[in-house]
Amino acid sequence: MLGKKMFFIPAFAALFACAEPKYVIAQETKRENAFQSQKATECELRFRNSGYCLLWQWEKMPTSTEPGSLTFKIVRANALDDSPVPVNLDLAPALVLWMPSMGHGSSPTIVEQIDTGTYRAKNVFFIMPGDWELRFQIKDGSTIHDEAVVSLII
Amino acid sequence: MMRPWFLLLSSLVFAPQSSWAAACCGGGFAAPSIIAGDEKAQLTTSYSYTDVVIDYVDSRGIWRQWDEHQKVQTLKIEGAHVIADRWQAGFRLPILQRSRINESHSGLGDLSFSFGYEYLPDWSYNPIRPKGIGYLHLTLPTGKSRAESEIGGLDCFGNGFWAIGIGTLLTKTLGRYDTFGSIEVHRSLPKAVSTRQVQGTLEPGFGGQFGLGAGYNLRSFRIGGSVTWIYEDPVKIHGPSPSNGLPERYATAVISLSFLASQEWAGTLSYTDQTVFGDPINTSLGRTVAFQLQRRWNR
Repeated sequence: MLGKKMFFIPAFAALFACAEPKYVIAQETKRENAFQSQKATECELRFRNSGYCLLWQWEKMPTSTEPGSLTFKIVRANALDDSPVPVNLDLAPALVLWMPSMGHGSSPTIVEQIDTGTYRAKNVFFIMPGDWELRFQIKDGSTIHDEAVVSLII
Repeated sequence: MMRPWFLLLSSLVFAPQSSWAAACCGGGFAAPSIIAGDEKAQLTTSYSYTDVVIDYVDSRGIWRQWDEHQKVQTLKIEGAHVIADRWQAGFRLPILQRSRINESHSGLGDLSFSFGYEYLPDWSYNPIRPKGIGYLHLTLPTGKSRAESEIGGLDCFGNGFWAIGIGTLLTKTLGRYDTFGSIEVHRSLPKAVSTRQVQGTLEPGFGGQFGLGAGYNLRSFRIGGSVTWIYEDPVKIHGPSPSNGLPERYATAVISLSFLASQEWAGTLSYTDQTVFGDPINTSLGRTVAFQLQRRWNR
């Protein structure tokens, strides 16, 4: 009899246990002066196939109601001194916002070229807080030739 | 003459479970349309309004909240009909509208069909043995899946996969009290996708729900409550940008007040809260108010 009670009481308590909210305040993932790297060989983020270095920084942080923008450069190492050399791509880069845990994206971004190997992504808007990926892709239509992925928490 | 509170239980146990689905971005598996009582047929229409109060709960159980939340309105028609002595068939047709700030999208959710068999009949009114209905539940992907959405899920209104489920509903009336329990396992099938954001194959897995509920009946009224725990396997993405996804888990608590206007007509007002029970992960949580009107035809 006691054995049954010892099983059923904890099982009932576990089943009907109230949810325990653990809130966090959304933290700004500020990223500044990313373009001041002196050597492309010390690059933190690379495209998977080409090995090109990706440098990026927020231009305007998105909020829960307003889209933001970011700028990015795709560079390679100079053969003489490893200094960053902008790469002139044949294909247009794209930026996809993806939430891996929920399995969905967000609003489409607009990428425009500013200079050789230098781009601005506008309409960067996260539909909800959480863990997101910035997927910088080099695409030909729907075919992805190369990709560099940045993980962030919004 | 059947007791009125038995009539209320018989067709309203599944009523509040219209809010099983995860609050955000489609997802979730629809509840089947089942006749739990002795009716020949029933037709139900319902309207619900959901406020997504917790935008995201991560895999560590951390709750995140913004000032602006998604709102979901759902209009649903569902029906069921006895097709042989202990066999029944049903359908469910939801239409949803999702809104956030100034953006709003509406469309058809996942259409589903169910086939039920009363394997534990209540002919003898046994004081202990419950009535049991087993069912097969087929979901058509008429609603867009989360991954297919190119605007962050505002335009996805269902699970978005072909899915087949098997489950059972057990009910028991004890005087003025009634109880029910339900359990279901389902399997969603892979599909190929090609959008600007994702290319490849989406591979969902198994999912399931387990629910318990009870009610108290007084004259033509029934006040009831239930809790349903829901689990969904991760949706893996195979393609140029692969992803393993993460499992989703949450619990839906419902309180409801039903009124039996006549032998043919009943109405239910319900409040659903996904923030009360369970240990949610990788999901959004909402609160829902719903009204349901039901017409039934007795045998």
